[in-house]
Amino acid sequence: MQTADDAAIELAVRSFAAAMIGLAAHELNNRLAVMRETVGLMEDLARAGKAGAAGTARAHSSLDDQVGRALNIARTLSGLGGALGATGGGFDAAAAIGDLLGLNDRWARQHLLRIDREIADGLPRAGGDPALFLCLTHRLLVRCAADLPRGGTVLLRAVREGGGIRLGVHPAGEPVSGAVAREPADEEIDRELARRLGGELVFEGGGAATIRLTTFH
Amino acid sequence: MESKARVLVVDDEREFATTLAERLGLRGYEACAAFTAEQAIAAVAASAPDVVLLDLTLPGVRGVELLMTLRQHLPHGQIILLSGHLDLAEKIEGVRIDAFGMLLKPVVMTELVAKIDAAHGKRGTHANC
Repeated sequence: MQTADDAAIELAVRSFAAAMIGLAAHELNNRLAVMRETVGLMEDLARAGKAGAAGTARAHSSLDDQVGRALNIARTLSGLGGALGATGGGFDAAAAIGDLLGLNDRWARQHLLRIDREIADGLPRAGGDPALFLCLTHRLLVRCAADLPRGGTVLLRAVREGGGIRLGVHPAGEPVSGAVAREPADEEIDRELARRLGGELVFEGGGAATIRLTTFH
Repeated sequence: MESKARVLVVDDEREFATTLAERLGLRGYEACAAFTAEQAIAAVAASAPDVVLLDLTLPGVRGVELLMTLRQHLPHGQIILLSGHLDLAEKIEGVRIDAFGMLLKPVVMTELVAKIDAAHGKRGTHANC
């Protein structure tokens, strides 16, 4: 069987990182845009002698909300940076999934997609490179979403299994089964990402897939 | 002297769209906001604004497709693209489909107003810039 080479894997990880940075920049720019317009409106109203206490309070509340949302993006970006720069020691799969979904919130909204997660408590640290795990999980998420009708749901479920972790990426409800043609080369990259993580990947049809990860020793 | 442009702000970020429309209103523009592709198409069909500020990343629709639809409904108006992130493919498509220009959010009000006025001045010519 043909296997994906180092260049293909490196390109997959770089493409993933670029996509995540683009999503984060997009979201941060939107938060900054709301802040700028909110402050600008307060200035405009003050200049026109129309500023009132209620409007000012509303503006402060909006700014506080936007700062909180921007901080969340900064935190998830920080998590992504840590994953991309990791050099061993295993990783917290639950936290990695949280960061991944945080960064993909805008993407999900844009595609009218809902992403549910069921992460078991007390998962052990996973072994392998967290950047490969994030890249693979993201690819499977996009793959699964492509098979869903508008407004569909993807379920990410992580549980302890034997001595490792099982992560399922499954469509919830009715997928548009077989609607999206798969590129064998893409699936081979997914399998190779799983192999390099020290795990195993199984495609289950209809956009569903399961990754089995080993724990960190 | 020509009157100020009638402007439609199309963005799913409701706070952004309503606040920007209010600020444009304070500057003498007749501005309103739409938050979905459906609302934008309805507003353009109903009132034919002079200038549309269009976010290319609305939920459930490809921005370029919406741009083409609005262009069909708005043969004499101008469309300025507005986004938190413009990739190269969108820029190229935007120019091809005759958008008047593109601005990256967050925008500077003086630059936005200058762009709106320039677009209003060229209304009906569909010149790219």
